[in-house]
Amino acid sequence: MRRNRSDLMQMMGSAGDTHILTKKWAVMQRVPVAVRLVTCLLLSAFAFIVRSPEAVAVLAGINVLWFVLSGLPAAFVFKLIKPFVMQTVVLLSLYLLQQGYPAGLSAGLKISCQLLLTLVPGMVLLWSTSPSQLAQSISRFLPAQAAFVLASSLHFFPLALADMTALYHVQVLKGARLSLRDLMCPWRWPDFITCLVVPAVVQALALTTEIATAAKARNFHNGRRSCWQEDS
Amino acid sequence: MTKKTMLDRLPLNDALFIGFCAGSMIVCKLLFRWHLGINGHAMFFTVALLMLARGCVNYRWAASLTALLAGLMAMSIGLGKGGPLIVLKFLFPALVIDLAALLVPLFFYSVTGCMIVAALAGASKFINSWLKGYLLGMDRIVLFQQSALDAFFALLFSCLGALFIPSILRKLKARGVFVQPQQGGE
Repeated sequence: MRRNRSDLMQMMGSAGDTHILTKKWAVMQRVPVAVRLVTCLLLSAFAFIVRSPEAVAVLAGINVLWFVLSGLPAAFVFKLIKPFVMQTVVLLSLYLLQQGYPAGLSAGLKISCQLLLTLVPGMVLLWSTSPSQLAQSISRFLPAQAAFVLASSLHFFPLALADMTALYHVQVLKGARLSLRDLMCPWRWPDFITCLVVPAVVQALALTTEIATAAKARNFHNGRRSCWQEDS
Repeated sequence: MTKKTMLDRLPLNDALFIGFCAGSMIVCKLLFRWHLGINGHAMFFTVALLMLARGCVNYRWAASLTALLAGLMAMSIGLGKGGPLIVLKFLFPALVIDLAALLVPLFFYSVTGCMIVAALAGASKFINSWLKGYLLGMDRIVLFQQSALDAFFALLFSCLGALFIPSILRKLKARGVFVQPQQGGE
């Protein structure tokens, strides 16, 4: 069974999801994606530039505003903070060891906040923008061929994944030890390579040759005309 | 007459394979987002797939191109910590692999060679971690300690990831699915 691109985005989990926003205050939805992308990069860059705790607080405020204006649900705040918990613990311990109790705590917290602020704009942009809109915006900054490769890889990657899934099932039916429990044993990893990885790479190479032949048959060549962006 | 760019010398099927490798890197990164607090475990797949891309495609900057595409994909889906610096996270190990392939084109077929290159690629995480901390204005000693810690775990996982590359490439070569990289050129 062939999967389409939306299936892949579902497989990619929450990070690939885009949330349809109908809130009145979600004004960022009406702003062009390219502007949002530049704003996101600027906000991330500012997280590296700011030094004083007051400036970090102001930047945090701007990020909160960006989050609210994007119309995302409040539950997403926890999704944003979760990956930083472990890093904050490590950083705080290192700073406390280095600078002692009051100074180390404030310095560690400031740096942890800055690290979080580098990620927030990107995550908010991702959750509030569809992947195709983002890909289209990125293709404006890339050479036509790179944009074509990026778009084609994204478009045909589900085919490669479907091939690999089919291959996995065939090998399991043939008696290959490829279950999750088997993969826990390092001495069975060579089976995994022989039965799944090598045939999957062969299939991927064959698939890319097919796609390239098809593209050439449709008179694909370098230049803006061949760039997928113009067809959409 | 139009001037030929670096990308023009790369056949489309190879470029698409590079795109698939980049996509696989992102999918692996997403699938193994368990937040176990183990630093650098993503380097296992990153280094393995970068080496696979460079080993299968006879193009001088194959690993760097894979890293660039993966970085762009990761940036556009907001993956990883570090905002726009995520591209560098992929790019530094890729540059190490490309440069190693330029100097020793057949290192992919030796376990020792792969381990050494993977160790160097993993250690490049130090630069990325240091750069990020430096830009944030971290204390120098803490910055050094944290970067060293990050680099150590990245090195460990990248060595593990590179362990399987020689056997995979030897099997692929035996099946005659690609031209063996002789000179590391196009």
